[in-house]
Amino acid sequence: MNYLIGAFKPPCNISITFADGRTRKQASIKKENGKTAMVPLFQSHENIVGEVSIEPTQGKKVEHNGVKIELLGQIELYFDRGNFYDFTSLVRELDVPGDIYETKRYPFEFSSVEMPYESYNGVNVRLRYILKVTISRNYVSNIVEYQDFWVRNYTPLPSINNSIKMEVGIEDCLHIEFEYNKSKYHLKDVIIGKIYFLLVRIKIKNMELEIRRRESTGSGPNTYVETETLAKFELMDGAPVRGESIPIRLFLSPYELTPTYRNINNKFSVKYYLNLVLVDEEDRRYFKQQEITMYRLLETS
Amino acid sequence: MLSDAEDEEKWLAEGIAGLQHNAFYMHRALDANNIRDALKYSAQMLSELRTSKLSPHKYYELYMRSFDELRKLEMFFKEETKRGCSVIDLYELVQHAGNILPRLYLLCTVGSVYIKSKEAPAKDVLKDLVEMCRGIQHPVRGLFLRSYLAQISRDKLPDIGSEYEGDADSVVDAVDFVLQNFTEMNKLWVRMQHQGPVREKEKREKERSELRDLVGKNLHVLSQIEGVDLEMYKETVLPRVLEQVVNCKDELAQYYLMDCIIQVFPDEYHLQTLETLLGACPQLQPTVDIKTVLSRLMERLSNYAASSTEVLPEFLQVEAFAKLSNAIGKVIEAQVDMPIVGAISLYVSLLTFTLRVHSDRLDYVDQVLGACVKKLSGKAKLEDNKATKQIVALLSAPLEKYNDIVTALKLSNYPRVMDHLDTGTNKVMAVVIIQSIMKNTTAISTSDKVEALFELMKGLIKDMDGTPADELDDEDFKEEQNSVARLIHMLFNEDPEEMFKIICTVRRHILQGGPTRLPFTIPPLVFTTLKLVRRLQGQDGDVAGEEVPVTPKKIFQLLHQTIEALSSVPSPELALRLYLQCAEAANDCDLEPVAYEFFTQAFILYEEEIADSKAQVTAIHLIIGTLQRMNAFGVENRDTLTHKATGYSAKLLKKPDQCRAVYACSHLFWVDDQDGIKDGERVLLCLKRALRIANAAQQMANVTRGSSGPVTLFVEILNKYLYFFEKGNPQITSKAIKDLVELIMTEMQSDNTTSDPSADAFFASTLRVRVSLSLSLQHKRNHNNDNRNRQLQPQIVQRWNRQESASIKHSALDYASLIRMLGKHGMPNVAMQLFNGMTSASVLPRYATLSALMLCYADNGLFLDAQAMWSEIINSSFVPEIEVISDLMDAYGKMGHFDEIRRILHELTSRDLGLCPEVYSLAISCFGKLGQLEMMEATMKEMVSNGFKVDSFTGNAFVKYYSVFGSLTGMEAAYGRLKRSRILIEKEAIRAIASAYIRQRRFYKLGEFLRDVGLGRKNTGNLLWNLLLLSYAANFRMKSLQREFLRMVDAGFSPDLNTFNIRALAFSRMSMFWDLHVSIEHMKHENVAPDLVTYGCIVDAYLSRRLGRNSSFALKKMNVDRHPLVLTDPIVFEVFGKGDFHSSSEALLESTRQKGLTYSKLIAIYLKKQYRSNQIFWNY
Repeated sequence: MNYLIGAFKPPCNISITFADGRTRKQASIKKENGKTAMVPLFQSHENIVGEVSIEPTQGKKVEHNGVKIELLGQIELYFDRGNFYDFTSLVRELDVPGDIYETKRYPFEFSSVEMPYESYNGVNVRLRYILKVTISRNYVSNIVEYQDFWVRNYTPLPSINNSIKMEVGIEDCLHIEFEYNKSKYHLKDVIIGKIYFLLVRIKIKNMELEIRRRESTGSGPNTYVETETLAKFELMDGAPVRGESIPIRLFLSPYELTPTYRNINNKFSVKYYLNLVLVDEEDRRYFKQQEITMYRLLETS
Repeated sequence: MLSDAEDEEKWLAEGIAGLQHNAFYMHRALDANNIRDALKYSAQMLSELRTSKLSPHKYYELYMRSFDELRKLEMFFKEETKRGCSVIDLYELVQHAGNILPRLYLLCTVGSVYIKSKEAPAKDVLKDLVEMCRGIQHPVRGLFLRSYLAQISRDKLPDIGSEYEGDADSVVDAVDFVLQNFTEMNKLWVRMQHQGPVREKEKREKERSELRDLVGKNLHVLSQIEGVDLEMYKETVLPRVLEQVVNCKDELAQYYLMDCIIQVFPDEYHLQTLETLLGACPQLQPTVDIKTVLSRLMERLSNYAASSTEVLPEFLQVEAFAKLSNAIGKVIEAQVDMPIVGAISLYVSLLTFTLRVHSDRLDYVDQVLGACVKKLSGKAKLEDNKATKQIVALLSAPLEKYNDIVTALKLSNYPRVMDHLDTGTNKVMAVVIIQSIMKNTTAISTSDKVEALFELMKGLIKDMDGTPADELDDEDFKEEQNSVARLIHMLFNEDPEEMFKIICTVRRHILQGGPTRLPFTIPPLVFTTLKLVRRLQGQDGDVAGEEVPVTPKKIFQLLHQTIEALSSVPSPELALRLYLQCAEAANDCDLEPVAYEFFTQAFILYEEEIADSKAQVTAIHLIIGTLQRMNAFGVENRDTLTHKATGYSAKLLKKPDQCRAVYACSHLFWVDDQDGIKDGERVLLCLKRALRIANAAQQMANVTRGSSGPVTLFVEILNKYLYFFEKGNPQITSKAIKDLVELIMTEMQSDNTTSDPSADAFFASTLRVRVSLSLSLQHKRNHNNDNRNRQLQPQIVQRWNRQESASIKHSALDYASLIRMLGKHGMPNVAMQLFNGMTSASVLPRYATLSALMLCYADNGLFLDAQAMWSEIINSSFVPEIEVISDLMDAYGKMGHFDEIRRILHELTSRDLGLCPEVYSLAISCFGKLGQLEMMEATMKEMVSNGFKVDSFTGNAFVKYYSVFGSLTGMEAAYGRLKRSRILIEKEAIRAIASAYIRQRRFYKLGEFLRDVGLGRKNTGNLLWNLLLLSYAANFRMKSLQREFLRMVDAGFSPDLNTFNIRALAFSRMSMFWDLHVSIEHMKHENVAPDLVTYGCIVDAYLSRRLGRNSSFALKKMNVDRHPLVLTDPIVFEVFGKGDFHSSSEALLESTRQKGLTYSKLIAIYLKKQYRSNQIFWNY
């Protein structure tokens, strides 16, 4: 079949390289097919500098109506697959119409690009940033090449970070008081807390803390909510008695979390919850869900 | 229970297998230095410890295996850190595990490495670990986890001198850590009793006590911490441990932990903290066995005191005694329910302590006894057996310690404690006291002490009020009194005056003893007194002339009075003997008048009191003996006395006695001393008199009986003659002796004396032989009996024979039933023996016997024998009965010997045509029952081809078995055949066919079949109609169901419970509430009582629509106070299954056999159950 492939081969190879490609940090991204790939990592207001090289296939020339490079920030919703909504779009003209006979390199630079949203691969939504090189041609379809890159934005330590403290229960049955040390956690943070049993009249089998991600997409009647349990962390084994206090220490680093995204471009939100679940001996589950805010702390060291 | 244990074994095995599996992968990962995999597999391995199915015992096994694996993991971690892996990272990494139990085990393991690395202070790591372990609240798992923590941290505590010692006060951290772990473990341990069902409480308590050492180990660790000095122990350790002990309010824990504290920490600590430790005791639960705890404490302290004398001042310094005594008082006060025995045993321990530590402080001992008296006061005598035992121990302790009753006698409370004993024990105690005296040969040497002693022993000495004398065991009584007697012998003082006082005191006491005791107590007193007399007599020379307060005379006076008391008891014989003894003593003292007086008393007694002739004989001999030895008497006195003695001798009742007494008297006149009187004449006189009496006796015997043994008398007299002759009495001549011998010879030869000694001997030996013979006979008989017991068979046969001997002609028949019975009990060999015995006894075996034996063989699988029997029967003239054949076929069928059945069938059919139809029918049902359809078919064909008509029973059975075992087509074919042969199908077969259709869910076909049978048939009751309705209901064809129901009523059938329930079930499943209501009304109208199924229809229908609260609309139409019953045809359940309510209630009815269950209760329980399964968590 090789000859067939050869026939439909594009007349040229386009490659996009970043100027600091070797030194830049990379993010490992899980692709749709389940494989992980390393992608260059940027953050907002960074200069995106690089070079596009166009290499015509052996013995062919590329006639074009111009070459441009675009930087696109796109949101793709599951129920609207293939339709990308661009929230950021920058263009640089690379070449005026003409022919390319041999390998040609075009440097490009987008300086201090505002990329307010982080790249995100969710269940029902995908937010991505790409560099798109287009060689426009007459009569035949344009030659397009994409280069993904990943964006992460860092947040400073929040100035106000209250603890979450709450007393819940069923009358005459179970009263507990729980406390998580913060309401905002960075991705490598540790949740410290405790559960204090004020009244226990049911036979509890165990207690666990779940981290749940709630991804809501769309708006109005077309809102889709997807909830995933990312972590189940057993806190207690056996039935406590009144006055017992159970410590919580949950390291967040092993879990694949993202910062909390609130109403990204009116398209979607991603929120995180801590769900405290008590299971009794008859496997009934008593639970209390609390939202926590996740943020990405700039790793200074 | 057995299956529980088996299950547990299985679970344990599974757990171990899982553990080993993961451990294997863990090792592989360790070898490959793959830390992530190692952690993953170790976590999986530790997950096996999450099981709840194992008892602590088995769990321990699993734990130990995990422990070994964790050691390896720890080694790995250690090396990993050496290689540069950060232990802090590792410490975080293990905490990523999702399950808490593996996580914490791993955390502890890494924690251990962390401490060793010294990257963080040991105290911080330990604190973190002990806090994190709170996550395990399950008692058993928590205990083991914390025990693991204790184990790994043991050598890493920041103790003084340890390499982990941190900055100042780090030992406080170590102690804090252990204490916290201990506290938590104890809480878990205490809580364990509340886990699980109440009925297993006992088992749980057992399991708990198996686990106690896990908790106790913490205390042990505490005691090993170097830094725990007295100060710290006093200020921190003990108060906190005690706080936990007191607060846990658990009997088992409190007892064990108190004991632990006492055993684990050094004695000197206990001594210095006695107040605190003891202060906790009254706060413990009332059921705790504090007495044992305190006893152990006191035991340890006393051992400590005994270890060296240097520590004794400490005891005094801390006032150990006062504190202990105080504490005991408080404990007794606090524990109102403590039985008296507990209190007393506490006092016993305290006393033991006191005796060992403060052996010089008699006042302490007395104080203890006083406290005990106080406790006992207000109560009358003790009834409790154990309590009295304890009191005995209490009272014996000082005796053993001081080895000296004298000391004990100083204790003023001693007798008061004794007062609380019941009479019996009081006596026992008294005996103990006496024995102690005996053992130590203590001399009680003052009258005061004697007074006190006898006060103690008053239980022995006199009757206590309220004890009837006849209640006493004679033997015991004698034993007691003998010991009192021995005691009296022990009293001694050098000084005669004091001794006399003692004697007076004793006398005063024992005279209260009453008639039963005096005979025992007076003799020793008398003899003791006589001993004194003899002592005085010995000293006589030295003290002569001085003012002697105690003279023998005075003593003899006392003796006289004493013995008089005895004679009035009355125990005249004893008194007489004592008088004689005294007389002899007086004689030795040369006090003639006194001796004479005693003799006079003796004679008076003899005359007035001794009435029994035998006693008289003994007494007179005694008198004679004593008198003979008297040398103090003057001639006159002696003559008077001898005269009297001779006179009494001659007046004895029986001639031989007279004779003997008289010849004894002869000695009175011949004293073989130097200056003794030797009056030969009077000796002879006596002897002659004796001879005369002997003669008279012989004649009297001749007259009365014609025989007697006075010859012996003669011989005896002859002996006397010879004695005196030897002694040289001139009056005794050889002639006289010769005459006497001759006389005896003639007497012996005379024919009217039959009482020849040789004849006597012969008679005796015959007697002996006879006795031995009879004995041996008896023995033989016994032996026979044994044999019979050993062998069942002869016994049965013999018994049978015995019963049957009366009606011998029926025996064969009855043997048959016996054999049958033996066969049923699996004893064919016995039956065979019986049969053999029968034939050998030439009883002709009848047919019944043969067949019974055959069945017996067949039942027990002895087919060869059975076959032999069968051929014997068939080849003889007997006609086998149809029942026998049936039984035989069944027996073969059960074992799967179908060929045998066929053979029997052929043999029968080829011989006896009369039985053929029945036999075929039998064979068919036999095959059918066992599912051998082909054979059944073949037999049927053979039957038909042999020209026999198939009867209704056979035909129906044929169809029935086809429907049970065969396919639907086979069944239909069989039914078709049945129909063609114009046999009416019967109920059984209909049911079988219906159930076959239902099994295959061919409801339409079922309907067809029923119509084919004919719905108009009346002789099957409602069965056909019900089945038809069922066929519609099963498909929920509600319209047809209603229509057919109406047609059924029209056809004149009255619907029954099954009809209604079929409809109700269908309505319920379809939630057709209206129709359900109507149906129930209809039921009420028809007077059909609903059953559990009907109620279930309503409850389930309402609940499935979540209308539980509305169910009363329907239920109020029914009587809910009835006892639940299930009366519905089970075939209905084959279609619908059992409803939720029905099945859950049925379980309840089966499990709780309570009588009072009603529908309303069942419904309430069910509703509650349903309600609870929907509970959710609300925030407020």
